[in-house]
Amino acid sequence: MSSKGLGTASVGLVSAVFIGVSCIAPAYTLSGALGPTASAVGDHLPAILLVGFIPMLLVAVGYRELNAAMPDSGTTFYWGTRAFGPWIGWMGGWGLLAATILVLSNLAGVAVTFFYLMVAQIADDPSLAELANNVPINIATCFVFMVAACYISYRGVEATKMVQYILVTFQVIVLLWFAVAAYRQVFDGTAFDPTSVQLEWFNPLGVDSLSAFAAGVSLSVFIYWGWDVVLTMSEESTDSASTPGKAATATIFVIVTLYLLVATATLAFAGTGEGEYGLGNTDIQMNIFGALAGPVMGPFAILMSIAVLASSTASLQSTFVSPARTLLAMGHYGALPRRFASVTPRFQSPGYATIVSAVISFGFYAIMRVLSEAVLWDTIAALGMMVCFYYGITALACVWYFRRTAMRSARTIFTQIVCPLLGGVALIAFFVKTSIDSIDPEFGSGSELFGVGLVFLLGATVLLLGVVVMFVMARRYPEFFRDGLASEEEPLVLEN
Amino acid sequence: MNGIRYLVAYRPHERGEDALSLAVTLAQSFGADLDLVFVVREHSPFAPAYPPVGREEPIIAEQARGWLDAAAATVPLDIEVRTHVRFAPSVAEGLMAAADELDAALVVLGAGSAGLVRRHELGGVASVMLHRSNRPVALVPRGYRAPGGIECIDCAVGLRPGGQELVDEAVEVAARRQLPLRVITMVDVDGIGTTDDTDGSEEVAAGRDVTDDRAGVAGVLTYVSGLLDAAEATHGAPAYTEIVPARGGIEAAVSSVSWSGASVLLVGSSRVAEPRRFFLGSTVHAMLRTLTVPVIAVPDGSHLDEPTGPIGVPGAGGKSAKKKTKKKLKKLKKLKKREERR
Repeated sequence: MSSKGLGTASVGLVSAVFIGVSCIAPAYTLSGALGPTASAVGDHLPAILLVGFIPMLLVAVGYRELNAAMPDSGTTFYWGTRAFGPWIGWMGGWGLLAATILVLSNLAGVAVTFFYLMVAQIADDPSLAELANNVPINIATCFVFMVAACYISYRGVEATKMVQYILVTFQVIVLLWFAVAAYRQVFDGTAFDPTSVQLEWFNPLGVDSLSAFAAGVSLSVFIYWGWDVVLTMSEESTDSASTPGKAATATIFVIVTLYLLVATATLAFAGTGEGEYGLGNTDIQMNIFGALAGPVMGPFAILMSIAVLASSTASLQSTFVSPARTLLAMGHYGALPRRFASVTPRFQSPGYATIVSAVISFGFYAIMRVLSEAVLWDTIAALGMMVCFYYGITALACVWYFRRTAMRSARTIFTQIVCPLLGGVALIAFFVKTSIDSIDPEFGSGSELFGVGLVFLLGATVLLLGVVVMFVMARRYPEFFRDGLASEEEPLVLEN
Repeated sequence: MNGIRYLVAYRPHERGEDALSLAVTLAQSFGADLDLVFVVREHSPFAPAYPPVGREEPIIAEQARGWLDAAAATVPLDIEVRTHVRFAPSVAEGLMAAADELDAALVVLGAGSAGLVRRHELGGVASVMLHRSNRPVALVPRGYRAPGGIECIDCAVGLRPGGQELVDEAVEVAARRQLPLRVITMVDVDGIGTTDDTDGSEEVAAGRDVTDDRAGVAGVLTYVSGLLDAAEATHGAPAYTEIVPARGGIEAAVSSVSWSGASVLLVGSSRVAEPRRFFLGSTVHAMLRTLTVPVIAVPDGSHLDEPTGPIGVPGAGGKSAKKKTKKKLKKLKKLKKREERR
């Protein structure tokens, strides 16, 4: 191991799985996405969770290839530019930024909701949980969470191995507890709407419509967003030839199993009716764990609140890193003002980019909270679209970048062309389909503005805004948009 | 040039400038060359970004190269300066690895983050380095700017073990560089135990274990002067030596001594023995809060000057050296008078 180069740290199989699961933040993700997904596909929830995984996997294969060929903190922005030129690359970067800003808002929102839920459970006073619905209090609390997470990121403080192990273990235990408790009530007959598990739940073809299917898949893309970190750890793994493959397989297995268990348990416990705790009840779809943890887990429901709160606050912090690094790279390559490339010498973090991310995320959350009564739901739906968009671009960039060299071997044809092409086309198709459907004001939570669905406004406006900003940047920094990233310019890897 | 090299932990930051300033002064006084090092902290694989994005360390490294080049350009031409960017899981680890690799005789650090008043405040990096480095570490007080040359060596020594090695090193450096030497000893902290500093009194207990029979001010002074004599017997006598008893608890003792901006204070490092880790945690830490001069923590058995190299300050042979020494002596006597008037 050299003291000069990057990547001296190494992780084994178990650590890699823990990292993969921690990145997905299962307690937060399920809490945010289970309801909206159930609302889209009803009792075919398990089917969508199984199927939604596939495009993600296909894209991740291409992502890994790009990362191996051009490791750069700009990722989608960098690869998109190298493959398709500066304009598409810039928009890919914007998609990534938009997705992370959306997820930051959502994470903060979930953290606030579960914070007051936890306070209410501790004080044994349900009225305290209502504080989360008070818009000014909610926004103020969110501000505190955001500032804290931003400060930690700015200082460059990182979670340690122990913290991640505890967080992941705790989340998994609580989710399993929830699933087992739900099943027990189903068998005891004390569940809200005891329903036996049916094979049909796992049949993706049984989903009513293509729209529902597309909406479900874009949501499950969000649900699985993040596990692919396991694949990019290849250089760091102790046995880099086989660990990443094994780690990815193990992580996928753990996550899919966990999600299916929780999803089927929830369905079996609550059914899809529109009653008080039914998954068809739009009131509880926004926050399924918040509504169901009590009836399912009894006095131990507070554990679920703690798990979701811990998972969302931890993710809040690690999510600040993502847009900050993308902004840093875009600034570095001259696609954004140079200030974004500035690094604080003391903490070695992209300070300016981190603060800008926090300001935009908070501003976005505050506006959304005022506009929409179902802010968490709408941001999740828009987020799914945005992830489809930028992952789609990434996958297609992989195909285009390797289009000539990949033909050398069957393996590279498969990993660099076939997988990313299928995954990329699928994600872009789901993105387009969901975008069109979301124009309908009835889409998702049913929030609307000027007679147009809020999710569409969120998704389309954010992307359109990106186009506008891109043209402004093109006027101010014509060099990048004229020359792009010349092919001679190697990505910033360390030769030192 | 006698081949010794000092490592500067540089950052384009006030603290980094402090470090560079002292390093240049030391390098000129001791004829050393400089290695400017910036350690890029590698992200832990256990703290991945969500969603996954690439790593930004290469961009930081590229910026760091620019910072180092700019800093190197400010170093006087008679000092050879090299720049290095290193990667490590922590800055302290990276600095220690670089110090080993470059065989640095001294690691110069800007002393961490700071309150507004205190000059020295141990940052995380400095704390780790002080406890774990096997090479001398220089801590630079906040806002330190070079006086033009080192004119005096101070050395803080007490009853704790390892004092002889430290005095040896101080005497050797002072003798070779023809600098006056002051041995500062905190008689009250070490000897009597009437102290206003709780940390200090625990230290006294530790000191007493070692030297029951040497309690009391006179005992301390005799003991220290014994160390000095022994060192002079081995390494030769510096131009001027003086034992300065500092009175009161740690902070009072530190402020009872008049410090010259052109001196460095050598202290023992707590690296080796676990009990002595405490020494740095309390006495030196308390000293650092009040001190306005650079402190060099010297682990046992390490040398911040070339131990076997040719003796002599560059450009200071013969007459001019004697003149210089006289000037320094005068200055020191002035300091002493000021002290006595207190």
